[in-house]
Amino acid sequence: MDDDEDFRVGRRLEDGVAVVAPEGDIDLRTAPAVRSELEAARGEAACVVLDLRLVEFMDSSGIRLLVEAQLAADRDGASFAVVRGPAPVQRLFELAGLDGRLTLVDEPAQAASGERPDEH
Amino acid sequence: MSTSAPAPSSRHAATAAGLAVVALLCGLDIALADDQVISATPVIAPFLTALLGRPRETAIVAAAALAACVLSPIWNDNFGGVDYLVRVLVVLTGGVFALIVARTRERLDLDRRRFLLLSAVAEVADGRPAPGETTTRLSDLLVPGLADIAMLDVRRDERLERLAVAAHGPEADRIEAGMRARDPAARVRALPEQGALQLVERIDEELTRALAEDDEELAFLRSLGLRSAIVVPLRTRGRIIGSLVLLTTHQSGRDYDADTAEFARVLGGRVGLALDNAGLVSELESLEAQTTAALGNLAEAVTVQSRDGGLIYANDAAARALGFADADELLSTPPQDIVDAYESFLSDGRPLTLTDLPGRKVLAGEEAEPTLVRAIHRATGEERWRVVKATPVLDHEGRPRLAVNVIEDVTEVKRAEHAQRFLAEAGAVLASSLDPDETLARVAELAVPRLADWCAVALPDERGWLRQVAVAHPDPDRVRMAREYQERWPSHVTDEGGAAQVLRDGQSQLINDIPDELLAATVTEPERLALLRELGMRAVMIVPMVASGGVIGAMTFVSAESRRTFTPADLELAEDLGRRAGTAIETARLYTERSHIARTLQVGLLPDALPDVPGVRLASLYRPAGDEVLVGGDFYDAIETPSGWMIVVGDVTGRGTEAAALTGQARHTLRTAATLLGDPAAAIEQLNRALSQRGELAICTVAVVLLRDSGATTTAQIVCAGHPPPVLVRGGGARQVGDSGLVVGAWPDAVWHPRTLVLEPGDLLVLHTDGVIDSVGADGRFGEERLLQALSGATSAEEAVARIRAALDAFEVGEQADDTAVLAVERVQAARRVPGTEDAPSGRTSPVK
Repeated sequence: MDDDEDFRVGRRLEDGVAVVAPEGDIDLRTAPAVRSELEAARGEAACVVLDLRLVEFMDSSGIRLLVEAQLAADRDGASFAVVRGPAPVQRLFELAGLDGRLTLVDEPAQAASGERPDEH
Repeated sequence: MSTSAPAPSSRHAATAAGLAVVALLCGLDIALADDQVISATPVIAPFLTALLGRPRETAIVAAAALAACVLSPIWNDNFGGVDYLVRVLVVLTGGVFALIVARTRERLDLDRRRFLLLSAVAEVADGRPAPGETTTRLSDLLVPGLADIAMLDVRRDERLERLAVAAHGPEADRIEAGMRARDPAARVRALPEQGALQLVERIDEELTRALAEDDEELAFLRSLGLRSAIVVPLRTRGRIIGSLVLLTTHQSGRDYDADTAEFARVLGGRVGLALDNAGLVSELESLEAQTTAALGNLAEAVTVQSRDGGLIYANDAAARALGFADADELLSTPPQDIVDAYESFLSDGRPLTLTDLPGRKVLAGEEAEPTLVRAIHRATGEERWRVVKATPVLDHEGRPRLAVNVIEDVTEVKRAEHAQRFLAEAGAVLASSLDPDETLARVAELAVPRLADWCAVALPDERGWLRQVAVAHPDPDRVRMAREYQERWPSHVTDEGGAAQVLRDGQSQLINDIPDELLAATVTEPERLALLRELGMRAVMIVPMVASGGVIGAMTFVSAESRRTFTPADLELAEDLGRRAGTAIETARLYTERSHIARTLQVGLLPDALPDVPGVRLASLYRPAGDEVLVGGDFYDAIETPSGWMIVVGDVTGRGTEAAALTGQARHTLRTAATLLGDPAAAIEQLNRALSQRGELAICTVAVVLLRDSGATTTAQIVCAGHPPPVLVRGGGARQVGDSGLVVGAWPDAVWHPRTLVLEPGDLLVLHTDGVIDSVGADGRFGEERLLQALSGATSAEEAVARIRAALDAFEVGEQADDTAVLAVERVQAARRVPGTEDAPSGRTSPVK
């Protein structure tokens, strides 16, 4: 089982983009920490990026986080992007059908350009 | 010889007067005619002298009178006649009588003087004059009446100190100064004291040399012309407080005899009393006296040890602390007996030895840290904590002479500290588990041996029997014995006394020094009584375990091997523990109840039983997450719709009552939509709109399969909404089927598309929630690959479910965070096979949308 000690979440400002970078597993236990960082990031910058590169696993709690963040960005007219994570994380994106609803990038810097694939 | 007598001047006067009378009478005799012989008349002279002086002077005068009488023929010219002989005889006899008179008179006079001296000393003793006056008066009384030089040496701090010196005569000042300068110890070295009176009839040159510490002193002593000495030990209230030294010198020319020594002994008693009454001794020991007075008032226990380790002083606090009535009782008790009265331990639990005590250390010249000692009084069983500190008192050579011990009783502080730590640990233990029996067992173990030698916890069962849920003792054999005892003679809440009584009335019990009669009165069976006696109980406490609903159990604490008794503070601690345990057990019970409610609620979210669906067989699996109180969000259903049976597996993200409510809503919305619309995608879209309209974000994932049986074939329309795709097992091979779609509840405009496939007989379609693939094992997550492997070769719905269950059981480690739902569909009805319809595109097999 994932120990909370194995989980960390960092937040930084990078070229006007607030980057939230969790490390470890995002699940029922760790999601609240990521949620509060995302909320803080929204207060910091109009562009928020969730960097999933160091996330090893994500369950439906993570999906809920992403949906929340995207809906909040849509409501505020801000932008939200996700840096793709490893295969298991990407698989969850697929299953949840989120690839069409979220802005997926490979680097936090790409989010600043505001590219967003077409919605399905 | 002999003592208290007139001064030499008066003695000389008596002699002179006697001799003058003899001479006068002789002169008269010569002057008178020869026939007028008065040569016998000098006989009156010795009598006269006897009245004025002592026997010695009387004898001189008598001899002179006799000589005058014998020589009288020279001038009377009557030598040799009978008359002459008669006169000589008369003078001789008269002289002898005069001597007897003188002796008798001297004796009476001596006795009178001695009596007066004793009265005078007694008067001093009774009068309680100021200390300085006492010594002056005592000296005045003793010198020159009893001695030429008198000295008072008083013991202080095991040393003699010269308190007073009295001499007489023209050289009195010189003699007194010289004697005062001498160290009494020199005298003691020459004349060792044995506590008895010493009489030195003759002080010879050898002794004088021994008495002198150097040549100067020897010259001084020689100048005194010492003759004899008496050293009288001064006693008062059973102890020797000093010595009275009486000396005769050539001044009086007297020597002491046994008679005088005996008188001196009586006198010594009075002098001792006088000194004691005058408070002289305590004045001499003034520093000690003041210190003693100060120490006596201290709350801290103070003792003073001499170099041999024996106690020479203790204040009342020390006496009380060590269990004695007063300091005298303590001081008269041998040190080993004091130590043996207690079972003592150092703070690390080692038994205390005498050498561990700081007093011994400082006397040995070592450094001594304050030492914490836990002592259990063997007789009373009382437990005390003491901090012992020791400071050395150094002698003039810098070696430790005494050790002053300050013993601080820190029992209250220690108890509070222990109670706090104990309760903190107990609190942690009580919070650590929700299994009441396990929790209570751990609390009981925590209480042993800190609070008691035994700790047992009893809870009543439904029928009122006391169930011993915990018994703790350091020795497992004893625990076994106690358990056997309980099994053999179980208690019922209706029983008299003991835990049953406490359970009924909620009143704690505390019995110290349990008398055997109590055991005998409580227990009648001989074997049971014997077992009970074998426990060697000394004290027992029974406290109620109180919860909001009242008393739910009883905790029993027994002191046996440690021999300690319980204090009111112990009882308070035990009661506190009882309350905490009661609350914890109640919480645990509430949790169990909630957990039960949660399970009931969960069951309510799932169909009571899977319905009979024509042509297919269904099997399901539901595994709740490790945390049983939280209701999981997984659900499954089988719904009959106008277009066929709809199979649903869903998962609401989140847990708890909110998730449960959402799960209920999701399940019922889907059921209603499915029944009305008969189309899986439409049903999901309906649910999506319903969830999107809720105020807060409510999302779920769902996999819906519509089974359409069109006689010849059975098709399955599969829609996945953010949900793991179902697994198709066909001919032993397992693979995922269906297209992925968006989660439900996030975007109201979302749409879903079904994937249709034709089910062949024997085909298995396994729907599941992410609890399966997300379950945690030693090698990470279970994952989709393991699921496919587990399902490969499955031939029936039941088998598929059983395989998943077995695979998860083998894989999972620890409590699972998420619940797991599986619904397996098996196509059983023999149907005509339609070639090429496998994995048909949705358009070809009656698409709904």
